[in-house]
Amino acid sequence: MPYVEKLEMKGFKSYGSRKIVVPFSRGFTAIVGANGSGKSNIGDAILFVLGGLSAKAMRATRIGDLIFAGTKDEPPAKYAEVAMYFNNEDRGFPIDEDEVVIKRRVYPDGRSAYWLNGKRTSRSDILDVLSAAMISPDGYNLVLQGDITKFIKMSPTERRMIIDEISGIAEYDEKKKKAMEELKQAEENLARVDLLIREVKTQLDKLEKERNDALRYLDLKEKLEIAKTTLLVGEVRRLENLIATSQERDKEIESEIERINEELEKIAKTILEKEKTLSQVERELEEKSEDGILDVTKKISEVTSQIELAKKNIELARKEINESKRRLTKVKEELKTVSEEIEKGKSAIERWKKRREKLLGEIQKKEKERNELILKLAEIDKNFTIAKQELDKVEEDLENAKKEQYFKESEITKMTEEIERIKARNSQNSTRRLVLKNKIEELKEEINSKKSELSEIDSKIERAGARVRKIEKELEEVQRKLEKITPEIKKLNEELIKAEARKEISQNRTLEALKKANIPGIYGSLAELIKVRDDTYLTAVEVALGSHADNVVVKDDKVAEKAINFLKRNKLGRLTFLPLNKIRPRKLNGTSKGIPVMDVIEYDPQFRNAVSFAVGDTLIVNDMDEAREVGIGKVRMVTLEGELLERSGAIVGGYYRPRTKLAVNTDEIRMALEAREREKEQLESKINALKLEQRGLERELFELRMKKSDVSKDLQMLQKDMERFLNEDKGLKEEIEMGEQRLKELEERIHQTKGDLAKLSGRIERLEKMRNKLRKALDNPEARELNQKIREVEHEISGLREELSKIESRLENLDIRINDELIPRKANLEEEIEGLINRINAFKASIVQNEEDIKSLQERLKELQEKEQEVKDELKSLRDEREKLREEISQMREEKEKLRDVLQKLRLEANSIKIRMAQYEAQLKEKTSELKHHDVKVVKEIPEDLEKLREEIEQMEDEIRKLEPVNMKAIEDYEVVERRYLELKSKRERLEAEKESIVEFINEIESQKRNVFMQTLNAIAKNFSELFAKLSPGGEAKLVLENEEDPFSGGLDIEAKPAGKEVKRIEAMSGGEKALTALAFVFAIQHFKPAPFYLFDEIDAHLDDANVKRVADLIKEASKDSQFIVITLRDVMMSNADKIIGVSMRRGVSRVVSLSLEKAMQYLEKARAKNANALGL
Amino acid sequence: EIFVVDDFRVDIEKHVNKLYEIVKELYNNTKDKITFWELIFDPSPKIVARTFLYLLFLANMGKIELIQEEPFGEIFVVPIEN
Repeated sequence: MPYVEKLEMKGFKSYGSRKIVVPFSRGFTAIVGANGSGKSNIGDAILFVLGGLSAKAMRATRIGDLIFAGTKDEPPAKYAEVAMYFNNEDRGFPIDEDEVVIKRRVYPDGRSAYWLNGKRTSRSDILDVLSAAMISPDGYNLVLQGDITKFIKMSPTERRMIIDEISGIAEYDEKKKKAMEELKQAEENLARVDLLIREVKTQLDKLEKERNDALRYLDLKEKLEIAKTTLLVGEVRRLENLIATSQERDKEIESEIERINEELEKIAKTILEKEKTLSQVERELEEKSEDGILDVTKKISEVTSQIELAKKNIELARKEINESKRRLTKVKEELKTVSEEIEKGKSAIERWKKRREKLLGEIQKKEKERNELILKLAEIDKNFTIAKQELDKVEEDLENAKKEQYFKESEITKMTEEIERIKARNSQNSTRRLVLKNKIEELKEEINSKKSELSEIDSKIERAGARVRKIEKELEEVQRKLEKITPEIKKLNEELIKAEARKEISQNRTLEALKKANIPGIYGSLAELIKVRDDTYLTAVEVALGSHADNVVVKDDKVAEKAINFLKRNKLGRLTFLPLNKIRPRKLNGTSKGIPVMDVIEYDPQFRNAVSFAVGDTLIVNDMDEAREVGIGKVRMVTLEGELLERSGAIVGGYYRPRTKLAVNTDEIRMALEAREREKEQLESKINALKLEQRGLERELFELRMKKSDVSKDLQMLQKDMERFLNEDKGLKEEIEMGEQRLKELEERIHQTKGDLAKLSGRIERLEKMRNKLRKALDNPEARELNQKIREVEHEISGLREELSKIESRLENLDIRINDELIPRKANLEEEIEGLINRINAFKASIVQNEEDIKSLQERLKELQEKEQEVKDELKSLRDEREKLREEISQMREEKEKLRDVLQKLRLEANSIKIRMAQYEAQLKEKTSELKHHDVKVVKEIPEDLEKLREEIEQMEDEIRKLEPVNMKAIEDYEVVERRYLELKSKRERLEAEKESIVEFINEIESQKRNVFMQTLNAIAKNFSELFAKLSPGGEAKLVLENEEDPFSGGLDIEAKPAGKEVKRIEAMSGGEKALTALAFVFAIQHFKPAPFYLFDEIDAHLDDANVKRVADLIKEASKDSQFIVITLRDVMMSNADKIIGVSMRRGVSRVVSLSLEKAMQYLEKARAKNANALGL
Repeated sequence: EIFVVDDFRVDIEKHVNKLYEIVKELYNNTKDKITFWELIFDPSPKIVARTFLYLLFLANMGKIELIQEEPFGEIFVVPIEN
């Protein structure tokens, strides 16, 4: 494998204008140095010389910035140049040299130049050479500073594509692409053949139908003849049979008629006898039922109803008697209680009257006593009453005054309290108002700002809306155009395929083969070179051209010779050539009628002679009439319908099948199609752009509307707040005013009330004095005693009077009860008793009478019933006899009628038989003569059902009529077309098989590709898991395909589980873990397929010493197969390297010192041994 | 992990200064350029690597000059006097 021997830099980044050589060697080389000294610039130089294009990857803004910019002591470089020396002893590069040097130089304007082994070359050549040795400026083997995690960060698909590249499956993709193209070609061929098949099939179907019709027609004709003959024979036999049976029947009928006539006569006689007996019975019956029975029945019913009436009367009378008796007992009882009550009332009245007298006497006595006492009191003190009244009045006044005083005082207290309250409230309200005023100001400002925001949003919405509408209109228009264009494209496509198919048919194979020979100077057939201006003349021009259509126009006779030789050599057939240098034009004999063919066609003027040779002498006329006008034989003519009139007088005509050699122009259709498709593409891209804009605008509109509703809501809230504050302020103001008013009022009232109070105090004092005086005056003991007595007596009187009035009212009640109620009631009761007794007696008498009546009536009823039974029996026997006779007569009459009917029918039948027999005989005669025209031998069997046969004949005739006219030629034509169809079919099968084999091939490639990929992936995945376990002892990691079924439709995932941790998503790992995972991935690939060299820039930055040691060991081991260049700051890494390149910077210019650690160790070992010897150890 | 690295980096300055003192002393003794080998007191790869690194730091700081005639050839150290 090739490896980097050294790197030469001149004017590159910090390395100054002098040439700097960085020596590398096989194995493990570390590049070390302080930060900023230029370590990583060596990595950049490698990237640069390998043809890297990204300035950013080389940590510069522009490629030109890679040129050394100069320092105080050194001028800037004119260009940057890096050369890389590869060892090519094993010919890893496809160049037969032991050393391959690639060099790249960049100028300040960014221009690059490349050299390969000293020769100027291009970047792509360099890249080709490098890629042959599996080196690329953006290969996975170059890991730049901070870039180690790129394998973690890249998408699973990008990661899978690394495996794709390593497995080299691109080769299969290339093969597949070619196969796909072949497949497309095969499918196109198939489509073409399908089209032909379709056309031939339509023709075949039509012919098939016609052929079948013709065959059917012949078949039917034959069958019809047989059927007709059979029918005739059958009918003759039938008629003969019919005549024989009719004669037999006629005889039968005659004998039957005779028999019936005899029977009829017998029946008529019997009927006559029976009718006589019947009239006798009827007369007797009439006599018996006239009197007798009716009279008796009437009487019986009369007697029965009389008995019923009497029974009902008796029952009624008994019920009445019982009722009256019950009533009588009740009335008697009541009379007794009423009499007793009257007695009791009368004695009570006596008692109460006595008591009343006694009470009146007592009352008089007491009144007298009271009057005496009053007189005595009046004498004792005349003034007492007056004084007493006055005292009462004074006391009442006093009490009122005191009450008023108390009331006023409490009123004052209340008012004072209210004043305090109002004052406190007012001061509170004033402070609240100050606060409100500030708030209102703030709100006003906020409302204004919201309003302006809202109007701004509105205008934005309007603008966006207008734009959306405009876009919609545009879209609609473009859509409409697109809709119009799509069917056009479809139509053109179909036309194109048809035209191509037609073109293929019309091609002359010899001509095509000749064209492929590419002989210069062959211009093509006349048919190809001529274009008819107007389709009306197409047929005419085609006929006029005739066999000249395939004539080949060539530059000169030499070309013609060459072409002829070619045809001869390849046995390709014969062609007529028209050399332009020799061919002579033909001219038209002057005539004024018709149109010269030359005038209706277009052609390149240089072919004029050739064209004229073919059709220059030919005239187009409308029809044969016009041709005759011009004169047949005078000039060559062709009619619009294709009749050709030669000058010789020969006329060629008939049905002309267009050869369509002229009209086929696929190029034009194809161009039109392409133009349409381009237009369609443009329209579609316009639609896409418009839709994109529309979506954007709609999103914007939606956001604006959301914002608007938010702002309006805010505004509404603010306005509501404002209103609330204003209302509150107004309320507060009113309250304060009202409070002040109230204060004034209260103070006034307090003042007034205090005046009133003072007045009241004086009045109370006065009244108290007066009361005391009056009390003294009223204090007299004798008067008090008298008063007491008078009150007692009056009390007694009123008690007595009360009792008196009670007694009087009781007396009155008793009186009313006796006189107005009890006495009249007693009289009524006595009267009722008398009435009831009379009633009972009357009913008893009625019962006796009725019972007697019933007895006599029942006797009479019995007599009558006996008489009735006798009459009834007699009548019944007569009626029975009558019925029997009537029935017998009617039966006989019916029988007679029946026999007459039968007779009638038989006579009719006899007549019709005779008529029919005559008909049958006539028919028989007719059919027999008809049968003479047919061949009776064809009749094999005569069917039972001749009607069915007749129907069949009718059907056949009907079908024959429907089939006509019949194309008998179709039978032969069908076979010809069918052969063509089968040929095409087999061609199609061949093409299909070809297509299938291509598909199979593609599948084969796919599966090979997949196998190769899976082998590569499995090997790398195995390496990866092993290496990860090595780098992170105890940890586990796997490469997992996103889609196992179809690896190429998904990416490649890394699943890692660092030691002692749960499974982590790789994004969630620490920097060190990520670096280890990525390194495992890089080494997994290296183990499978090592790249020539690896560049690692500070991959160990995030690792601890133990991990650095593991990585370093891995590099050391891997460096047996590949060259490793590792930029590092870690001593653990350095000490594992074979060579160390030290970088330091002096006065802004980087310098390089190299150290071979192997050599150093050997040297030191030797020195130590020497020292040991010197010391005598 | 981070602690170890920091510790190492803090120590670097100390080690670098110490190495500088040694270089100056050697130079003052002989007034002649010093070979890289003279500065190695323990022939382990780690020490050789570290010493090489510290010399690069000193060169970067402008305190010494490193001279090498050919790739992988003898490395000479000369302190720079201000």
